Amino acid sequence: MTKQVWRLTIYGEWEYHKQIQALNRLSEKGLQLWRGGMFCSGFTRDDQVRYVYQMDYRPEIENEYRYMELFAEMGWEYLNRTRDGWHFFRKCYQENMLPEEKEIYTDQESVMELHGRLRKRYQKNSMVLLFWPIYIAVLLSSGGPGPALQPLELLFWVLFVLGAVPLSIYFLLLLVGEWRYRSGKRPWPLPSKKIWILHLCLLYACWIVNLMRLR
Amino acid sequence: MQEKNEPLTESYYYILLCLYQKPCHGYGIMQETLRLSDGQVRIGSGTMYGATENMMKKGWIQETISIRPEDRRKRLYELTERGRGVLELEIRRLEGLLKSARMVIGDGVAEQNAGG
Repeated sequence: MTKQVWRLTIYGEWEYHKQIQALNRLSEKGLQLWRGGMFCSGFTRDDQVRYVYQMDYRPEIENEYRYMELFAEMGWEYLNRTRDGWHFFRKCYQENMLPEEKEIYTDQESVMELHGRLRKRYQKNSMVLLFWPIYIAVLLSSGGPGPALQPLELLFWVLFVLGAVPLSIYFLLLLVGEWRYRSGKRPWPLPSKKIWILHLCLLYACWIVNLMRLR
Repeated sequence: MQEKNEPLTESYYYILLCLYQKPCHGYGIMQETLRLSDGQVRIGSGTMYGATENMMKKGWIQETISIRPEDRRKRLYELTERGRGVLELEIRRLEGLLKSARMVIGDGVAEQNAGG
């Protein structure tokens, strides 16, 4: 009887390599992914098997049957598709597997095509982030610190600095990264999505404290 | 009509080469590429899908269905006349490159590498 487990698997588009490595490590330990996601994934507990996992980002597939066939022919089992367009695959692990056998992209050009598709995705996502500078400006316009620094005020400013400032920096990193990429330079690495979410939570807490201090 | 003579990637080159004699399915192309390149060039599924999709859009290859009873369901790819022309142009281009190398380095390019 295999046990079903759900785990948080928080990864941004730019970290899919880390996600694949994590899935492979989990498989070695007996947790087998059966339904992948960019936020949470379903696993089954099974020590008897071991898999090699892969992910492909393809939101639009011209011919789905042909796509599935090319993977199935090479031994990849299709798991699922996320709403965004990530596809999860796995194949049985063998001791003397070559590194190329664990990959689905085997030349530089096709990897660049994949990255191009990913960039379009997080250009769309980064438009959502435009919301944050506007929100921060609104927060600030509701008044600066009063003459006597009350605990709620202090809490507001602490949360604001811990939440809004890093998020603004990450947003700038995204923009600068885009510009560097277009001028042929390597973009600076982005922090992991878990860190983005941590700062977002701090900003939400800041918003709640703001509502309380304005009451 | 002169095809624009852009260099082919290794994957594209081998896919066209494998289809030169007869149509083949994806796995067959992968195996044949491994054999022809002496294990050096392996084409992964993601690369294969992208490459075949691009080549079909350019009209270099097309899908066909196998007439052999044992692989009725298998999807085969076959080279078009245009694709054949592209491959032949590429081979001529590569021969030109090798010829230039031999003019500079001489016939014993391999010996140079081993001795140097």
